[in-house]
Amino acid sequence: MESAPDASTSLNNREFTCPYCRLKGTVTKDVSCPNCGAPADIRLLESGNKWEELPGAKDRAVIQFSQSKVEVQGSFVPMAEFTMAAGESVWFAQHKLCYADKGISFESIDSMNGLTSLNLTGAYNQIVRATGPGHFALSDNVMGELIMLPLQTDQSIKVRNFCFVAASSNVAHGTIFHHRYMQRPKPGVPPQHDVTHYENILESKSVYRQAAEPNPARVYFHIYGGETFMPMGGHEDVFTARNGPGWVLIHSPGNTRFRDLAADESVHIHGSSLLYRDPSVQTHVVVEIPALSNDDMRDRSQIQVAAHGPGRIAVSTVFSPEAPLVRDVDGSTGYNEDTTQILDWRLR
Amino acid sequence: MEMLLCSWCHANNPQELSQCAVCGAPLNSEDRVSDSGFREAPKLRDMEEFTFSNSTLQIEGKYVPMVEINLHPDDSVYFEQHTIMAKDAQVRLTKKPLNGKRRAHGMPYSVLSASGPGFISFSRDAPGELVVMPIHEHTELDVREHAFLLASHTVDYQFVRIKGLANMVHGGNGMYLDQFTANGASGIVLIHGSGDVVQKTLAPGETIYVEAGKLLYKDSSVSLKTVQLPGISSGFLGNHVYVAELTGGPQGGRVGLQSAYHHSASE
Repeated sequence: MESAPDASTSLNNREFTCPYCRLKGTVTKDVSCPNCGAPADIRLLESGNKWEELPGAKDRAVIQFSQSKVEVQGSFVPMAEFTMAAGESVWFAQHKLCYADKGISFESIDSMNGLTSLNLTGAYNQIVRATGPGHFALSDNVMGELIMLPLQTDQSIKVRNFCFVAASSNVAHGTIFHHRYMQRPKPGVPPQHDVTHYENILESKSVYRQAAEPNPARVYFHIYGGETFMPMGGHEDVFTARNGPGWVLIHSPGNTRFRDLAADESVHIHGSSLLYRDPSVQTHVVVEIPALSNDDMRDRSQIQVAAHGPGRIAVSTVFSPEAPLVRDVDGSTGYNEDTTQILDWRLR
Repeated sequence: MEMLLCSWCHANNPQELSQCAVCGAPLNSEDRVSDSGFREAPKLRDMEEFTFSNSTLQIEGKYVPMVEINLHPDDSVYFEQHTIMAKDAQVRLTKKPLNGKRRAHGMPYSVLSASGPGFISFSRDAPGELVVMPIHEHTELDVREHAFLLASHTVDYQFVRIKGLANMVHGGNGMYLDQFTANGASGIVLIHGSGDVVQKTLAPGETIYVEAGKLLYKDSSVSLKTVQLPGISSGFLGNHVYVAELTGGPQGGRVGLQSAYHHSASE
């Protein structure tokens, strides 16, 4: 991403369509998008394979909603500081709270359909409504970027589990629980929406052939080994704006890239790197086993997620590893040393 | 002679300087405060130098910054044992007496002193920012456990244990608060905040709730109490959220927060 020459002076107060949140708006005085806070003085740099960098909200960007606003503070682990007008509210994940003044009133929301389940650290993941007047701030715990996702009326977005920070009060939440078991697709039937599948394609032009495991039970054993691991996480959060436009604020670990898939376009990604996607993007699991596979090599099989357009997908550069991939037939090993280290880091 | 006032440590600086001679904060950057009164800690420029006593300090790196000190023969600094990166062979290390027993990472907690002359460098293990806090005479700064990187020899050190504060953070029995006091000459404390660091000056009697893992430092005049966040209770057993309630004293006081929490096992 590069700064365009003299862009800040030429863009200030101009109408523009933000390439990141896809909404029209007037560039703010600190040269950011008024809807998502992303910098407005950058030139899109598209890589050779159509991925583009998503810069996240700028440090000190201010996003107005109703009579309230949110200001971004920081650049490593940015905080979202809310200034709430009297009677206005947002809801958020309790463990993202940094501070609050006494003017803010809090209220637990019990029926958030899955968001009240256990979070990464095993504690109860409480969802809380904060109502103004007053200030409070939220942040994640890992380096990354805050990304504001504005939603038009009845528009939905699917977000990786545990990345949710806050949402406007009119945004409804749903949960997709991912299937733990892999299923073979039936001939002639496209992959079912949101259900993981085992893709059994013998021929491939890549140096790897795609999974050709003759015994699905054995594949299941090798991949999951009895662990509760799902390539795209245990669930995805689905947010939908009701009765008017709304927004969802998420924290992307590391850096973020996005791509707009055409209707007939597919791409394979690391399942747990998927940050968010339009609901029109369908996914299923693909397993690749190295071409010269034997019993040892099969343990190094790659689990990926195939995403099918049309629609936008975004990935983040920090993601959970394929933890329980390596497990001997006798079940003696669950994690290798490197994997355990990464997991420890992610759970901090 | 016209002087420039540092907005971070309030030291006077000659106009020709671009950074504060006491704390290293840039003097020519905008000091922007959010609506709630928080301001970001100054972004120390990579490789800039500043001084304390007769020694020279240099901050290096952006993501996990380190500090390198050229110690004068009359100066020394103290630090937690595991934060040392490198030193000249002639820099002498001694163990600093502590006011009690304490364990960290399953091992006895110890603080070492390094005496000049020579180079010595330090860093912590988490991405974040270094904050330079000058400690003026007869003032005290309280810092969360395992956050201070070093302190100059003119600053006294002791710690207290706050029972119960960390229960909601890592299931422990409470966290330690390191207390730095300048009883003789003034000095400095360098603090490593995980993620980004913001600071607010509380007015007398003003109260804010802070998630305990995010509290980085406070003036001793700011009182700290563990309370349940009003209004939040859910689940079969009525789970509550505990936070630190910070209230400004008669003269108010500063509160520093870090945006990320880096767990350090304490006993």
